[in-house]
Amino acid sequence: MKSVWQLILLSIIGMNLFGCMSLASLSLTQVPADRNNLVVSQAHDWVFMGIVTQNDFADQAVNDLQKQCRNGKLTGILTKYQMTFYLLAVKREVVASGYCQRS
Amino acid sequence: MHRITVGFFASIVLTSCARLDHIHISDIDQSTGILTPISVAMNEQAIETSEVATLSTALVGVLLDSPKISENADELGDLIHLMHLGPRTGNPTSNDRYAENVLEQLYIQCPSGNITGLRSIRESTTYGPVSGEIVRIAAFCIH
Repeated sequence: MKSVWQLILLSIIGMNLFGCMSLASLSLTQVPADRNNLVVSQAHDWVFMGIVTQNDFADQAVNDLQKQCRNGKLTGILTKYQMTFYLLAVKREVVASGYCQRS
Repeated sequence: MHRITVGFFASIVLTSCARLDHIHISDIDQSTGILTPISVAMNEQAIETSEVATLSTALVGVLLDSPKISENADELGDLIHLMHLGPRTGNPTSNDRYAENVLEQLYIQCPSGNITGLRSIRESTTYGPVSGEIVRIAAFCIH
């Protein structure tokens, strides 16, 4: 009986460690000819048991991109919104990358 | 018993949840001036009809003390769900043009029209079977 409980516990831990991913949306803007300076940013939040009240975490990705290209122009921006599903939690993630051009 | 049931249904309806469906970030030009954040959100109320049918039928069954009605609640919800099959984002709304004047709203906040860093965000806030289907456009006005 003890080994059955151990197996159940291990299964739960295993399910929590290996998350299934889902790509919800992806977009790309016009890519420049000069692609030397790639900047990448990422923002995420955790949702436990499906309860979430805001989507503000996505703004952090934009702020990080801006900080990496002060006084420059960001083009060729690839935006990915993806989710990783664990047993009781979901990681929502926005990954943005672009090319910084300074004149 | 009835109070607990009504309280349970009320808590489902009153607890709000946010959902993010899509985000698109466009080019950001920080080289031509000072950027001021602007934002426009267009919201349209929507109802998940199958969920409403299930909940209301189950509630009627409890209030009338009729287990037979409660048992049929899921079947009625499934039937209505089948009528709305197909790809969709969020709950169905009665108006599909609610986000059309978003550009005018942006220009009101940025009369110069020098806008950069547009973010198109499709999201919603759900209160049980009712939801607010939101189209949000955030951007920077160049001064």
